[in-house]
Amino acid sequence: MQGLVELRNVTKRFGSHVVVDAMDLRIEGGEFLSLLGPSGCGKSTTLRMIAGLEQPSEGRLSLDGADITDLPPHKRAVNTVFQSYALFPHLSVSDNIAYALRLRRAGRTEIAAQVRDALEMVRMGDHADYFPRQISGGQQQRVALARAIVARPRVLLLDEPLSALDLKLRQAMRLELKRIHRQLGITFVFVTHDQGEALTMSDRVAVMHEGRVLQLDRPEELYERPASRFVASFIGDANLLNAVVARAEGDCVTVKVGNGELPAKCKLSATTGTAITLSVRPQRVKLLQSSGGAATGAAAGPTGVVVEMTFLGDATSAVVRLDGSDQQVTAVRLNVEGVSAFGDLRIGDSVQLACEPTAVHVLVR
Amino acid sequence: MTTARTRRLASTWTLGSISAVALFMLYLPVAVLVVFSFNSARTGAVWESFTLDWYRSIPDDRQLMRAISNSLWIALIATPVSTVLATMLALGMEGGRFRGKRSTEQVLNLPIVAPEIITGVSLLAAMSLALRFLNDVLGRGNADAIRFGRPTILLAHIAFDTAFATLIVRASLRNLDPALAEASLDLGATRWQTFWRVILPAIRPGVLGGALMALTLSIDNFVITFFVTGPGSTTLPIEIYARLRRTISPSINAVATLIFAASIVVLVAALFAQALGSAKRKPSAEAPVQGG
Amino acid sequence: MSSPLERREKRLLLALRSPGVLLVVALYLIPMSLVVAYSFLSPAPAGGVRWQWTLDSYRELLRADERASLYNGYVTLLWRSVWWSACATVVTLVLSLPLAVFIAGRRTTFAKNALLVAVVVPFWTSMLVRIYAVRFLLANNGPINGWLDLFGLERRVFLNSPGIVFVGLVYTALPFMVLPLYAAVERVDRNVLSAARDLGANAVQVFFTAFIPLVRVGLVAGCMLVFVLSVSQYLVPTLLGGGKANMIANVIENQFGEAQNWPMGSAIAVTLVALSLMGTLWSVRINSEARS
Repeated sequence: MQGLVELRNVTKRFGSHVVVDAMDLRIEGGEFLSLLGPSGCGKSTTLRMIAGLEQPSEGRLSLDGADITDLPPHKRAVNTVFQSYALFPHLSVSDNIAYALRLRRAGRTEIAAQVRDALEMVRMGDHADYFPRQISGGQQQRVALARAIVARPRVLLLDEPLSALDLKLRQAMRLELKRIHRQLGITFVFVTHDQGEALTMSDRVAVMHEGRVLQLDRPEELYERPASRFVASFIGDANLLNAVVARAEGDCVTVKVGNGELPAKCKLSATTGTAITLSVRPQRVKLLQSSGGAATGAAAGPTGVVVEMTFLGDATSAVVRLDGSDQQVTAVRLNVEGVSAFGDLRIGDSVQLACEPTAVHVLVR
Repeated sequence: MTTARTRRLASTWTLGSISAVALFMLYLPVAVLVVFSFNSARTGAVWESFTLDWYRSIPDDRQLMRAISNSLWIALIATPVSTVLATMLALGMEGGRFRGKRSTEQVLNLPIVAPEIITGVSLLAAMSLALRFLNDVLGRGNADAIRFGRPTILLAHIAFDTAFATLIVRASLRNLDPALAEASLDLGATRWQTFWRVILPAIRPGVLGGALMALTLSIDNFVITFFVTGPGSTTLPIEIYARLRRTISPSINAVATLIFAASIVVLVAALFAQALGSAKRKPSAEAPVQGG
Repeated sequence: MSSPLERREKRLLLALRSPGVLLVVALYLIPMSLVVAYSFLSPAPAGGVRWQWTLDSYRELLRADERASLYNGYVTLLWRSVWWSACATVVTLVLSLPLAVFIAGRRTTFAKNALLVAVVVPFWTSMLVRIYAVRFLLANNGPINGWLDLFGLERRVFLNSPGIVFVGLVYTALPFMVLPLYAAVERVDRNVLSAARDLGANAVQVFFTAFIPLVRVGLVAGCMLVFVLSVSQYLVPTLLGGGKANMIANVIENQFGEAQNWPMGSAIAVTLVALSLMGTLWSVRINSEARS
């Protein structure tokens, strides 16, 4: 099987600065793929190379099996929604959308029909005669989307299209984009630095850092099983703790953290004494109030002191400093009817940490 | 409170009155000239009565009319040619980085920073050399030699017009969102189609401003033209200058007033073009103009 | 290394800028280099040069000439041009700064734009017409003398004196100073001035320690522009000085014209460019210091 878009060993240099580093990427037909990473990680450059607006310094790109590396942008069946929308200011909304069709010398009635369909799809049917400067940012966004999909490209590229919108609009547009993706059935490649956007909309997410894809996976997998320290810290909040493998038994290991031990599921074969990094989501950290004497057991969790309690509205977070180490762990609990789920826990209390083995992920350092 | 207010008022008054003096000084001579161009007296010392005679005499002045037609001929060729060259140059300079960009910028700055007198004598020296060479090659003798005249003036004007118009076109290109051109290419337009359908409409105010600048510079230029002119190709500023050295006739006042009025018309057109451009770029959430 | 598409793009941009760049090279860079070369050659009898290298022109230029020549010696003339231009720059600055501050201080955009247009109109209109207007106003038979008559005062001779040339320099330069100054003043954050006031500085201290440093870049740019414009003025000394208050440009013109000594004219032209360049370099240095 062949991917719809394939990047093979693609490198992009600006001068001596390597922006995209020997990247291999396979985008399947019909999927919603996000390129996620901090600014400067090469995600936009990757997108621009697929569009043909930037040429790779090395490597090849193909679309549907055909090599497009040396094809100029106007000959690629790929359209882009730009971050600044890039609507043509001198053309009305409908003329903006008709732009690609007119270049193809489509018939007048055909253009009118397709423009109307595209406008309906983005729910801007009654704004056809407005000019870009007369409509709001969110509306401009929809027009840019309609303009890019009207000619039915094989792939739609979206370059941080939601970053200029305010929070509420951004969330509404996520659902809209998802709906349009379903309706059109074409491939979406979505560039963003917002992990929330990537996780909620995508079929797959490629986390990028310094010109490389660190992990390409389904959102659930990324969240539950980050493959590296960077991915773990970039996707959602995570406690990243330095630890040492104490015992390894099959696919389960026991690791030493602070003055205690935690169990963890681990596919990697780790030998006793290996220094590793643990990743634990704050929602999955349990705090046991240790009244005086520490609890005992096969794997007694590390103890610590609560140094900070913060009310977050729907939840409360507690920061615990581990005894015998300068590491801190954050735990988050949903509040029940406005009452802190931590009960009467206060700053200065001693607590003991506990986690399910499935909540603790071992990252090789 | 009160002292602070009085102090601010006093400073505004001081600033205002110095400003008024400066503006008064700037406008007094031209204003007086305009008024006295309607004076029937032969000298400026007395006001006799209102007359349009000096304006009426202009069409009968064959020498003056020839100078005006020379000026127009040159300006009307130099302006479109230099506007096209300037737009190409602006696109080529703003299109991206290239090797030797810094030195190219410096060469392009020469016409802007060089004093006119220097440009004038340089062109005189270079063009006489070039003409001598040309006449030798073509085997032309004294009788049919190519001399200084309208072609040399035209060449000089195209050069400085292009340099100044480029400044304005480049400024408007720099204000353009580069994603506009990219969006056009992305949607299937060739570079050529992108220029005509997206870039030119967007920078039209700048191109128009550049053209009007070129037109004004061409019509007004004296010093450079003075050095590359030849017999029979006298332009309007040179004709006026020549008459000033002899004697001041009131008809000159009328011609000067007309030049001044023409400059203002062109300036208003340029400002209008700019205002149009900025109004287009300004986003607004006002009531939409249907179908406009 | 680069891809075929990038190479095509680069070729296109090169093709776009080539005509304009070649034009400026052919009509500015080469002619100016020629003038530099001419300044080291010997004069031919009827204008032009003989290709014989010599430093004669520069020696002549530097000789403190006591002959009762037209220009009283070149060094004196150079010095006078520079001195007048420097003084004209300072006077222009003193008049322009309040005007720029006043314009920037207007609350409504309309008032601002109206005042700006008032400054731009002279900037845009023919320098020849403006200087002629001054000459008309102050002529022996002009309106000012007419008004003196009216009040029973004695007529005065204004024209053809160094003083009136100086006034002319300021008059022509004023708009060139106001525009860059205004751009700088407009950018000044008023809160900074208030903060200085708040920290206990008096008005004079605020002006020198906060305001001037903030507008320094625009101020130096304006001064440089005005100095270069003034030091190379041809029309002002010619039309207002009447040969009695010549400046550098008059001598250059004379050497290329009547005197038929092109190498001498070239040597003076090179000196003028060197003087302008000194002004430019000085301003660049001041401004780069301001930025660091």
